Amino acid sequence: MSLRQNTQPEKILIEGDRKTAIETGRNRLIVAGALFSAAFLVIGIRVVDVSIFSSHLEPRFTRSITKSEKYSGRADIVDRNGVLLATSLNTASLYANPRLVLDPEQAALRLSGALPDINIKMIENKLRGDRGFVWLRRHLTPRQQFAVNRLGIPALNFQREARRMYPLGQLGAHVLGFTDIDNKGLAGVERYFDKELRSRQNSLALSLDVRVQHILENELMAAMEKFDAIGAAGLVMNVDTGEIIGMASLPSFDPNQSGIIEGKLRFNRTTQGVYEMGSTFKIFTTAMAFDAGTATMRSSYDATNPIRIARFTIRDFRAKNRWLSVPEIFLYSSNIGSVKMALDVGIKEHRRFLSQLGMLKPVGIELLETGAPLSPERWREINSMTISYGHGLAVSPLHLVAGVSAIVNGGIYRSPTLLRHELGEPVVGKRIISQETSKNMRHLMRLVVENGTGRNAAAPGYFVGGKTGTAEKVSDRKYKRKALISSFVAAFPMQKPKYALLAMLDEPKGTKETLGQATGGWVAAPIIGSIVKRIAPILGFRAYRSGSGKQKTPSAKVTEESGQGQQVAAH
Amino acid sequence: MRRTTLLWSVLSVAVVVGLFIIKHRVQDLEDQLHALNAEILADRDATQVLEAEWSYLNQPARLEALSRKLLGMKPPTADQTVTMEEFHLRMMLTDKNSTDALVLDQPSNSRIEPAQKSDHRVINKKLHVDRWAKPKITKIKNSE
Repeated sequence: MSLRQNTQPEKILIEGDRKTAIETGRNRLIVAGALFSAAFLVIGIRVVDVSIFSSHLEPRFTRSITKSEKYSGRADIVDRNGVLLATSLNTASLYANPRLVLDPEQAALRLSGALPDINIKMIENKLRGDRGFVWLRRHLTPRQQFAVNRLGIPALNFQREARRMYPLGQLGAHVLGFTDIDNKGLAGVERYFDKELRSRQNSLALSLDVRVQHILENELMAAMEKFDAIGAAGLVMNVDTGEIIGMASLPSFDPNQSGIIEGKLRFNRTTQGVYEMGSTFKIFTTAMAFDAGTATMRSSYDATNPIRIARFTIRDFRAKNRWLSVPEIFLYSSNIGSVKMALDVGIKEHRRFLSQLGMLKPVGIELLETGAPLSPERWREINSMTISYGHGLAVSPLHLVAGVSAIVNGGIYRSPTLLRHELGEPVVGKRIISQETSKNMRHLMRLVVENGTGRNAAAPGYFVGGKTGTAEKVSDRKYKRKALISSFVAAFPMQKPKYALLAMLDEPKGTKETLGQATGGWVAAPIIGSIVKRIAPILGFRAYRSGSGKQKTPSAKVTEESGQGQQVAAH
Repeated sequence: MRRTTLLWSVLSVAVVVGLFIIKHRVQDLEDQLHALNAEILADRDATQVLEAEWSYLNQPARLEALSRKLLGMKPPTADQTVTMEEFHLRMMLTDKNSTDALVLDQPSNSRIEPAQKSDHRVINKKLHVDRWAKPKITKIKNSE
């Protein structure tokens, strides 16, 4: 022991129990220190993590509203030019917590002071109930809200709610449809795109043009009143893109009053109603015969005698009782001639042709209110014969317009759509007839307006062509002589059609002016004439003036782009 | 030793004060942001209402009634439209008569291209157009 002390005098050596005690102490210190520094490290890392790498899941206390953030429950609907058709506005809705109401009778009485048109008894009963929440009145005006606030009843409260508004009122009501008080789409586009509109951020652009829509409804309404009809329908369709520019069904309704719309008014005649269209079907019969090669523009048929089959007799409305050329059959709307043309093609082919034009199934469009055509279960000779002039097959007006579009646009069927077609977007379609057939059909339709039954549809300078149609309505399995469906289906400008139109009146009555007639040529054709005169300039067409000799430059300006321009209507 | 202590304590007080001030500023800014957000929301509501009102006031039926009644307007006839070319022609004639020097003497040089230019197809096919204007029909007399 002494030796060690001598050799290493400075070093203090501790041995034995004391040494172990100190060792233990140091070890413990190190462990504790390590633990603490680990803890601090973890906290440090976490602090860095929280402050620097803040996750988006954590709500920041305050943030700015992003530009795209939604501020109302449902997306707007606009027309092709961006005019607002449907929007959601925030309004205040009044609710109460009945448990907090001290004196229901008094409260109801005072409330009636602010909202004079409420039912006091009903409100009182609502306030008596043992519930935590009752709606008292939805969508108050700011003035009403102020009046209620001033009452100072503590149990009353307001909830901000979006309310669907249709600033254009009845215009395009059947296309737009309406929503219920909870903003659920119940009809029209609102119903078809219900989910989409709920989740969408930007507005939904329809193919409608409000200016065209207005003119369409305006002219139809005037004609409906003039001829004392019970209803009317009208369509304007772009034949190249399938866009529906105007769709009107009268009588109409105000979608803003969604609670009190009669079921009868909701009926969309253009898509839901199926009618036997009458002579307008001769367009399809003739086109089919041309395309099958069984008839040409120079063929002729014997229309001397009525056709008798089974217990029916098929005769002409104004019989010529002679041989008629194909253009004449079309021009004078000869049933006999059409029947013979259809039979030449054959009933199987006839059925196939109409089915290709979509006449045998509900038309595809962005509406749920579509009617299924009424077609014969078994297609016999007699069916083919009557269908050739538009009886025995009931289709919706939209079917007819879509079919006629295909005939005049060069022969390609395109499904009608209510959504705006963006420039450059491809349009799918299937060829139904040849270019040549389409051209011949356009010549025939032009003839009808220039020299035939559709003279009243003329709009000078715009080259309207079309076909009249008059059908008797069926009731109790009999055709009613006096109840007619009078229509005119047209397209313009005929050298290269851009738009197809239809005007239809339900049970028009003849007037003195029309010599008591209520046929398509007398009542529906003039509607088309005045519509085209008004919409053509809007759609970018320029009337061709053949009479003015001074004019050196021909002025029929029908460019491809002219109708596409997205001019802003009201802005 | 004392100096370092002093330094550290001054530093820590400064940090505390700084933190306090910053915290307050942040609070202020957040309050401001809140107010602005509320304002934005209110403005958006107002814009929505105004847009709806704009659309309401621009109802085609209303515009039509007003322009008929107050301005005596009618749907335009075919004669009331002119092409750009005709317009330039007319401008030239009036310009020659007027003493104004502001002249559009060469319509082809003007910035606005006449609409016809792009459409030679139609110009060259006057006959073609006439055929659509006055179509002819061949009748079959009472014979085979």
